[in-house]
Amino acid sequence: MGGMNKIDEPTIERARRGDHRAFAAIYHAFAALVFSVALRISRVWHDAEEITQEVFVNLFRKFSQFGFQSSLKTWLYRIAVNTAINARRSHLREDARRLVYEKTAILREAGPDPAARLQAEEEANALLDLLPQEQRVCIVLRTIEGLSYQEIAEVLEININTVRSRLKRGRETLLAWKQGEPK
Amino acid sequence: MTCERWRDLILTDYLDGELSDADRQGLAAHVAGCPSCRDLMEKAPTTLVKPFEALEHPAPPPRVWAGVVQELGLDPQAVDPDRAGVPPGGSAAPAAPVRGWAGRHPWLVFGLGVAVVALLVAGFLFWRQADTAGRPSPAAVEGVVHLMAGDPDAERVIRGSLAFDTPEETFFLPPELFPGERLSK
Repeated sequence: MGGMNKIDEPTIERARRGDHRAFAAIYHAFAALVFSVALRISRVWHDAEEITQEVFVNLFRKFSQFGFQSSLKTWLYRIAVNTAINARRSHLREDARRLVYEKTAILREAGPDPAARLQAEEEANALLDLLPQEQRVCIVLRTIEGLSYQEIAEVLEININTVRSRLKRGRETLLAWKQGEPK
Repeated sequence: MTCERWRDLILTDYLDGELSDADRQGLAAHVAGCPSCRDLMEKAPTTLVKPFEALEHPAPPPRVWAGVVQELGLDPQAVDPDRAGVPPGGSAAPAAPVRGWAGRHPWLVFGLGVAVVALLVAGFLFWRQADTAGRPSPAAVEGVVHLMAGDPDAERVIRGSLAFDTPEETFFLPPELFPGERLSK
């Protein structure tokens, strides 16, 4: 899984034993990853902030349960996905018409051509909105996060062929929509 | 293999770069003679992958970390990666678990404690000594105040003198403060 979140095992071990500085290093290495997943699944900026905070608070409190059976990144993805799904479930119950994305948050960030970035965000979010949750999660992890099928299977604790099946059905839905044939 | 099977493979392993060598060769041979599957293979990346490629991984705003620190009751300065010498994404320098101010300065806390106790003992002894050094009893003072009843200046002076270490002579008030008629009450 990508090389942007490298953090060595001794740091993880110190964080497991309650070292606050090691925990801070882990936060700063993985916060963007968790926030991104939370944002793509919840699609609400403020919710993504709350989900990210909740993920790291839970990580700190349950760190002793991390047994190195999977990578820390896989573990964090799993917590992030589950937290985001639960948050989205309650969010949808609360208000289905709530603002789907905080445009100003995108425009506020420095970078070239904010209008194009905003358009890309809106298009991607509109596509993700077409999908049932389990397919959306697989598309997010594969196409946006770049996880392999095996890694997605580990994060979601499902069979690798189930990953394939969800991706295929999700993409069929997107294709049908693009061709003006909603299923 | 049927078109449906090749189509499934295009929508999954082909798009995601997970095709085996055998499937890659088989797919190339199939699309060479199947316009429908070739069309899907050409359009799928633009339709299904490209819209997500431009997305970024935005970092959460600093208030998220501040919220984590606050909820967990961590010392904000101790977990500041800049102060701790922890580069973002790098490994932290070995560090002892974060302790509070008192935990970091045990001898200073002990010394302060000793000083406070010494001050309290000295204050108590001083008070005892002053009380037994010929100072008029509160009952005597109240008696004089009673004689001076109605004269706020005199009462203030008498009570004020109690706040200090009152020498016996100051207790005998200057006559100008106390008109004779009042003393005679």
